[in-house]
Amino acid sequence: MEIYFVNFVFESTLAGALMDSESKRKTSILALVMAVAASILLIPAAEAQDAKVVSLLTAQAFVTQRLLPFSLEKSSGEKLNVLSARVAPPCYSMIDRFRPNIFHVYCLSATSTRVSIAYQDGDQIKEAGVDLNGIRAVALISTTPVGPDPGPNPLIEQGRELFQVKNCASCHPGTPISSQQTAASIEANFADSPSAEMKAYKGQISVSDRDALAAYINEEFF
Amino acid sequence: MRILLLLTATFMMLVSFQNCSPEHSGTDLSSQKVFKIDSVYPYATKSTYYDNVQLVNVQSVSGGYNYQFIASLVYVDAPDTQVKLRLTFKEESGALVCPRVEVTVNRSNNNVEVSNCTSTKSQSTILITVEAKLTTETNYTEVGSYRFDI
Repeated sequence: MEIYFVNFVFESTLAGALMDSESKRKTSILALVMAVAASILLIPAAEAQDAKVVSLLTAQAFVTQRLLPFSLEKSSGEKLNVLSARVAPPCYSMIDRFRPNIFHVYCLSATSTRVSIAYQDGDQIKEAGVDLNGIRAVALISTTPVGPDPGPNPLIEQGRELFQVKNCASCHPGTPISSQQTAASIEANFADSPSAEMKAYKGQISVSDRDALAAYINEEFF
Repeated sequence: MRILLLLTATFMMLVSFQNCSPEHSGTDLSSQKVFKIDSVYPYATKSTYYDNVQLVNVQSVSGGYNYQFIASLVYVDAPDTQVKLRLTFKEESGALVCPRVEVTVNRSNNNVEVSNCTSTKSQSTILITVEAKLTTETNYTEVGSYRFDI
């Protein structure tokens, strides 16, 4: 079970706007002393009625591209409503649509991060934070080639598209094409072509596009 | 004296100034895609279980192809409850790709790794059905289904 104790945030109140400067100074010192005393004396009391963030998944299940659900509850088991959950990219968070005490974190890539939570405890709004360490990336984005079919070659596919876009198909394969094409041979073909339409491509198509056209022609026509 | 105070105050303002305005670059923000977590929330109704399955590896092995998955499942309203999880792996025709997996999970132990799914032929698509039941229940309930186009 993964339990993360909440970090309470103590808020100071603003008061005495109309006090004179001496009173303000005394008030400030008093407030400081009270804050220190509270942080020493009241922390055990705060922990006695603390809230905790509980992961519904074991830490080994913290992987990318998975909704990681967390619930917020008191030690007594009372559920607390999450008002907001904030986390920095590549992670994102949301409150569950059907359970206000549950929020989800979803990370697009491996990371460690911190989620800041605002929640309601009675008539008070409090803040909490939880650290998520070592979210792993394991999902298979692209498979290694399996079996004899390695899948489409992107260069050939680019060439196929160019062949259509540049209107090559209107004459070819009716007009013969030489084998073993290269980017250079295609440029030479443009220059030497008796066709005015084809000649117009001389110097107009980039080397990478001619590479793609050559790959497509060599694959498709021979 | 007043001028001195004014100069001091101006100096303090200058040294303490921090430009907190957003950075402006030539990037066309309209072309940037903003990820919406709502788009991956899969439940249309209040779900009894939260589940997830991911394909993590495909390997060519002796006698066929090995598909490795990870899965997770939790009974939401009582996460410590022992739950039976059943995963069924099928091809589009409905034939089983590899043997069913049945495990018991709870909140402390719900990272399921499936490494024994080996098929004699290469699969272009694997359909996975996730079923669950409490250990006290008789019948499984379908919790979710996943499709992997490989």
